[in-house]
Amino acid sequence: MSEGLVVASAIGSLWAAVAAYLWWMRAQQKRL
Amino acid sequence: MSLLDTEETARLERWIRITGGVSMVLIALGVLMAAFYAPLLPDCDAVAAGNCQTSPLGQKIFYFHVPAAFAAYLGLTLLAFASYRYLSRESVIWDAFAVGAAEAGVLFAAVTLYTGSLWGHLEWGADTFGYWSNDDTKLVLTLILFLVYVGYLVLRRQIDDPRRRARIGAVYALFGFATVPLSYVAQRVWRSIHPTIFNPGDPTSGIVTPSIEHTFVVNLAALLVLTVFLLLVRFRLEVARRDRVENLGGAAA
Repeated sequence: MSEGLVVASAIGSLWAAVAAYLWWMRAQQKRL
Repeated sequence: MSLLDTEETARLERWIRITGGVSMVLIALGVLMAAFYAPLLPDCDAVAAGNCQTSPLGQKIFYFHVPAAFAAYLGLTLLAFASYRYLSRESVIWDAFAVGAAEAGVLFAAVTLYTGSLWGHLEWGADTFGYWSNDDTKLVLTLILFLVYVGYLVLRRQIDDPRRRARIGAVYALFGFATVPLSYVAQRVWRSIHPTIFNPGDPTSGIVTPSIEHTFVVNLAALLVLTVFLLLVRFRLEVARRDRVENLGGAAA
């Protein structure tokens, strides 16, 4: 994997994890 | 009947809006600064000595990896605080707060391990996950920290009685907190390939120019505020869930 892709994967993982967590909480809130 | 009264709910909503807005602005600023303001450090292939990087581009991960670690430490410290308050007051509010703090801590601990593994792959040339076997104290202790708090979340799910779950969870979290300072100081005390970031006077520490320092501080502030934002959103969800169970006539879950 190229250096740029590794860096993008690392930094992207942070925002992907936060977005997924917010999406999950939003889905849970709607179910209530 | 709700766990929070009208005034407390309004205050919670206000803080969610404030922390959400501030974190979005700081995140955008931090990403732009990491991309365009912070310098690429010299390539070790080009310079013989001094602060050089095997992967100058990989060093950009620093601006997210270290703040993510501090965000995890903040979440887990707040979990210990909430656990202590629960044990001293037996208030379900603190147990709901603890859930949010634990999940934020585990989320950022996972991000810390993943970003650190990829940076290590670029900088140290290790197989992406290969150096866990090198008995490196910092890395192994941080992995243990992550597993301890995943264990906390799993443990909570296994206990049906809400009071017992909150009490056992709080005791577990207070014992588990030992992994937080151990993970932070590990490379200062024991053998580790992991660099020490805050080491004034050390030219090989992570922060070597003012622009690196500014970028780091903005990203650190962004992730610390984001941690509080995620914690509050999760706290609001947990309160709503418990209110619903209460109103349906069940035990306060």
